[in-house]
Amino acid sequence: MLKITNLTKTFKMKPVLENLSFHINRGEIVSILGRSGSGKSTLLNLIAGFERADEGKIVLEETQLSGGGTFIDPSRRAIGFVFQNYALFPHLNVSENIAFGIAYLSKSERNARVSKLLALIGLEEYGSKYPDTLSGGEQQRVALARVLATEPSIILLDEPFSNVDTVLKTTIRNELISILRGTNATAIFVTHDPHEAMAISDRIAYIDNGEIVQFDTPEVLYHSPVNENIAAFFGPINRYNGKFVRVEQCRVDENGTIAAEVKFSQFMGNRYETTVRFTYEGEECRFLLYTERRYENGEKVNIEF
Amino acid sequence: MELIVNAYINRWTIQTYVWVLTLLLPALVVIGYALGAEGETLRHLKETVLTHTVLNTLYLIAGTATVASILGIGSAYLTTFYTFRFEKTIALLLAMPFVIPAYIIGFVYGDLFGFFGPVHLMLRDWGVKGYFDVLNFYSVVLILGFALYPYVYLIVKASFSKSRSSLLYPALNLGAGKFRLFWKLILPLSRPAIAGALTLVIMECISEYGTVKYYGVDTLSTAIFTAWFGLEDPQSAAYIASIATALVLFVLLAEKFARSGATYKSEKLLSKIPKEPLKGFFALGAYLFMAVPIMFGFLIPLAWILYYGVEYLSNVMSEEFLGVMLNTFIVSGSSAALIVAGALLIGYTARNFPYGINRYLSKAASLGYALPGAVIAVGIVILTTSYDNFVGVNIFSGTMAVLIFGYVARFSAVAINTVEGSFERLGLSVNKASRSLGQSHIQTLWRIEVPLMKRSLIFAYALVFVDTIKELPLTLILRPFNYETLATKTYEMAESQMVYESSIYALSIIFISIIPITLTIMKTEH
Repeated sequence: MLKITNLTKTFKMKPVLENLSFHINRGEIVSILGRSGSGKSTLLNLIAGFERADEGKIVLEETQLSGGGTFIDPSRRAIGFVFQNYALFPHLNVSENIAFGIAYLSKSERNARVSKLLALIGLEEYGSKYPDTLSGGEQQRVALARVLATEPSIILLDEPFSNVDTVLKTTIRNELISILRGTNATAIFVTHDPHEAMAISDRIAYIDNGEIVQFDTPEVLYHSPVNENIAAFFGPINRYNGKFVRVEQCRVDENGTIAAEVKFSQFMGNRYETTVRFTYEGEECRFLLYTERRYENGEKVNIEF
Repeated sequence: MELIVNAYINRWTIQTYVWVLTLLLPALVVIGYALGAEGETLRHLKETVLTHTVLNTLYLIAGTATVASILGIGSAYLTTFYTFRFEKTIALLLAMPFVIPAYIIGFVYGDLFGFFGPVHLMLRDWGVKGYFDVLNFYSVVLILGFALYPYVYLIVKASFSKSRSSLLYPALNLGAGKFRLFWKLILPLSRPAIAGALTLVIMECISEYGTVKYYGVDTLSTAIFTAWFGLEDPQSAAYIASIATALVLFVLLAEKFARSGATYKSEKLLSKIPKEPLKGFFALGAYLFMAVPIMFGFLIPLAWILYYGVEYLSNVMSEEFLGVMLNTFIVSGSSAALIVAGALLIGYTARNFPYGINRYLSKAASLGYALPGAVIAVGIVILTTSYDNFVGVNIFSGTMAVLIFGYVARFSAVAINTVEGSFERLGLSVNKASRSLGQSHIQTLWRIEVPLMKRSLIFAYALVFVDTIKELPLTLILRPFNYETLATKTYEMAESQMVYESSIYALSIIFISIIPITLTIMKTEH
């Protein structure tokens, strides 16, 4: 569906993306995950056509968008883009925003599609309101409806939840994803939040220093990360002898084979976090454990992982 | 499918390059023409006029810059760091001389202090014998100082009010007195602002024509006119114009040099230092100090113009007045429209394709604003007459198009500034959103950006409109035969001893300028 081959982009002599290749299937929701400056937003801009790649090909449903002397203008790519700040047009009302990209349709067709989309995003009564009177979550749904109106082949979403209030984030995210799933859309999210990526995606592409380091399902990335970097990015880990283990896989166990000494223990609400010290294969280690009670400093415990 | 080779060569950038080149053409022609200058007239020019006019221009610059600095920095200091009665009104009044073109202030004082003017009449009434002539160099320095100090006042005031308490409090705490603080800290910190403001003042001095001509002072600007109209020698005119251009470029370089190393200017304002009330004799002195430029730069000229303007108010319905008004609105209105459209083009390209030379387009297109009106005018006449001679048909010479070209080449900078600022505030995401929804660049500009930037565009239009209305030397050279605008009519009537009748034209200029300029002043105040 979307096939990217050997994509390379350099800014001011500094490579931002290097020889990137991957492909995405129809109906898939994929996250591009990485720390800031990893090149993930650049990748999105290249796919949308807001920037030009130095090398490499981008092919969407048999149409070559970029590469080998070809460059299709963003306006002719049939790619939907949902912006971080939503980028709703403030001088147009909600209906006019949604109808913006389908001016080529007849008035009745246009109105029909706008009503259908307003219903889809649950904002039937909001057609004549202006964007600045809407909440962040509502604005975002309008931005999505505006993109869906043009029936794009693929939808790109650049950090869509980074401006959303933390308390409402999960609700807003679930609403957006259920709308996307409901329309069988193919979508690429860009995010720096691993939990968000795991929650919403079929597959995650972890990008670091302009390269895709691992591209797999959330479960594989979490449980079998290809390197320590990815492991630590998805959740806390304990390191030992150049290896690592997830914190929740370590536990205090009466029959545990490793004797450790408690450094300190603190209450975190839903659990206690206890730091222990021990020697493993001749090396000094320090582990974090989730425990059910507070341990005294210096207390001896057995652990297992 | 659209095939674009690279970011420099597409419909937008090419159109922009052509437009910017067109704006630069007059200046380039002047320099090119002057480089090829030779002959008897030129030698004569060098021996006689040139040294004299260059020196006069330099003296004028030095004198005006001094007067403008004292008045501008002084009043900026008082209004920034002290609080006093009628503070807001006085702060606004201090900027108001901007509304009156220097040449109009000049005509007013020429009349007030003329042989039959009220001052001499009064002195004769009191039995004072003798007569002093104000039509001299020193008067011009004072008049230009009063007319131009608002540049210094507004820019330096903006810089002063950004002085951070985080810097000033420690200095005060270390025992620095108020005046030492001003000399040692505030003034040096504002060096870039002062340099910038004085550059504007100097460029206005070089460009000034009406006042210097009326007061009989020969400067580079008047020398261009003499060579052009008197000697009918375009080569000499271009030569003098290129000297004026060199002078402007030198000033711009000097400003860049004066600003260099001034990295502290962009720091953010943390908190303002609290103002102190003015007290005692210091307060009296301060009021007097601020009253001088307000009286001489604004209230007296305005009162004079209002007085005679009202007397000649019946002329407003005359065919002549209405004709002049119509002429002015036609050329200024269409020039401003072209300028704003061009600024949109340049601003859009600079923002959407910010690569390589595209980043310098707006700077290049703004050069005309730094050059004297007469220089651009000479460049354009040479350009258009050469073209007409080349094709053998009179297409441009003596038409309104030439005058409009002149305004566009000279005044694009103001609109470009405003439009670029507006593009910047708008950001790129609505543009991208629109394009990813299938709209082309031009559709996006038209459906999204123009409506969202409407206020800025109207503001830019008004500012440019006012600039073109006030412009005298360029209009005098480029206007079609017998085509009178408000500026030329004011000037010509004042020149031919019909200074009272000219008041109604002067009043119209002020009347048209007052709203846009006051808005700009209030904008800078924030």
